[in-house]
Amino acid sequence: MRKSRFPAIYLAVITALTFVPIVVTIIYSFNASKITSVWGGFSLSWYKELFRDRDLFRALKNSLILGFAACLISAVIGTLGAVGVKRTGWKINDFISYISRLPIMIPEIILGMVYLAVFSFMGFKFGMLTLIIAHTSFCIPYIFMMVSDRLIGMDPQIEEAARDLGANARQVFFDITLPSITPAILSGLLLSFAMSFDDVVISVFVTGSTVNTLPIKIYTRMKTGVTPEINALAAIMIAVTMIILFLNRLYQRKHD
Amino acid sequence: MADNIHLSLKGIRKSFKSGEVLKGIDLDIAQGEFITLLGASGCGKTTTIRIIAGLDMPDEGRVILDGADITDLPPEKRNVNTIFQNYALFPHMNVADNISYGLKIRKVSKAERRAKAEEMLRLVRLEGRGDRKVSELSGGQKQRVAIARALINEPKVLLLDEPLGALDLKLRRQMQLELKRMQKQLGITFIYITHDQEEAINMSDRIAVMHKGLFEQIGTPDEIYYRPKTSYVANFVGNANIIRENGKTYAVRSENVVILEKEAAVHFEGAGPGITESAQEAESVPETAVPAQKLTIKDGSEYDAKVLEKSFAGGQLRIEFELKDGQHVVASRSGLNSVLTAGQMTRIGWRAEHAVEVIDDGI
Repeated sequence: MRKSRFPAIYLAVITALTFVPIVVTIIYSFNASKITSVWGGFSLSWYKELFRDRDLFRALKNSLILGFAACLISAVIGTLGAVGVKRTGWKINDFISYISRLPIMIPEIILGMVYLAVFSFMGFKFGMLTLIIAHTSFCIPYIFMMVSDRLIGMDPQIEEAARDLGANARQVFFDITLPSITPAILSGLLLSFAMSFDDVVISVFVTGSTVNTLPIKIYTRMKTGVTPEINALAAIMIAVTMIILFLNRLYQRKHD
Repeated sequence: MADNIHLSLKGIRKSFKSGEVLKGIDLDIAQGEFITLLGASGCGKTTTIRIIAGLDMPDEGRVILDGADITDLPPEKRNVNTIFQNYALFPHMNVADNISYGLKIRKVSKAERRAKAEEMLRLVRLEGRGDRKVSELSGGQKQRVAIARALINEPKVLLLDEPLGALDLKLRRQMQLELKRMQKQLGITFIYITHDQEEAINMSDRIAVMHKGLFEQIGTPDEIYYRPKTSYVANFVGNANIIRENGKTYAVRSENVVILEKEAAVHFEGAGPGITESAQEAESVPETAVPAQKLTIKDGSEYDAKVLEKSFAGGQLRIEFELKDGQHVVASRSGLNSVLTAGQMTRIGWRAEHAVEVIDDGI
């Protein structure tokens, strides 16, 4: 029987769709020409320009602060939520699990409107605080899901064994439970940071006029046409993302 | 025994959603005793030790340790440790950290912890393996680490939940001997769970046979094996035939069932005084070098029986018969030598002393 060619074709199509645009973007970030569609020779000038762009760097700083704050706060809340749902065994817990995952399903544009309405109603000043609250709330589901899945896969007897050996509930959590779910928390952190760093739609709704995040800034600039400077920024961000994913993979290998 | 009762269970009842698991059990255990809870899965033996450990709370009844009521104490406040069925080692700690975890909780100094862990590693014959990862250990080694981790706390009672269930037969035999050695050496009370009657008989001072949330019989291995009180115990522990006759129920172990006719004259354990050989029936066993026997039992019972099937299991030949009234009887003996064939009619019997009258609980 002949081997089907289908898997190979499938793989080629997927690869092309995913990687060709990325590679093109990276190549054109070194384009000397100012017109994106014309190749004018190799140049680092767009990178130089990018690093001189104060405005863009302020936006990057905002995005980093927002990303770290949102993913750290959501890690604490999401982890405690997942552990709580596992521990208490209440009837309502299935429902809590369900609504904890809901923000992933709801369209972002709707979430953005909801946050806008709530913050207006509560009289919040739009800016970094509202951004952090909104981002935290859509990051919690990722942590919650990752940690919940890990807890389900965890041998329940190891916690009982620790209690049997004399550990109280707090010691069991810090000595046994937390080390077991740490890989899940870290994966959740990475994912939520990526989600926060990438978000435009919700941020546009909840940010004030003075605070710009990097994605909002890029989006705004794109309205006036793609500049090669943005290509350079994209290339750097792709590189950073790949490094983070690579480190995550190394870490998980070490722990399996 | 009343003067050195160490651990007492008094009227313990426990129900889960699936139903009542313990239906009011009482048990007194002496200091330093090796007692086994023997029963099929689902009989309530694991729930019993979880209640002793404090991992489950009884609905009714008390647990008394050295005269103190510990029923309401959480597991970490009881001087009782458990060996779990799947070992439950901490995967993120190495062997030495696993073993000394109980000492760390009690804030014992690091140097002392290390010294004690070494001592325990010697006890369970894992010297120099303290730095190993748990995932690098074999099943038998994991078992030893679990034992060391429990014993380092010097518990008054050690609870063992089918600790050898996951090991192969050879390793299981070896670990049985080692557990027994450690128990004698340390003088700790062991409460051991198994569904394997051989293991129970080999290791225990006393056996408590559990069935459907109650103790059917508590006694020494000898008593349980030779003088079963109920048909369940006779069948579960001794693999005995349960014979119902004239409104009474008897247990007859298969090695005591003697084939009286048409079988090769091989030694049967059940034979002996009272069973005599008479004239041989040569024509019934053609083409065999071994002469056929014809025996009679002076004080016992004899039955006409049809051979149903022969099988070989556990180093023994088992021959299943059907009596005229439809009851099935199994005879067993060592060796393969048998000239009987399925469908043949013969006579079987047993001496009166081998038929133990038991309470019939329908098994």
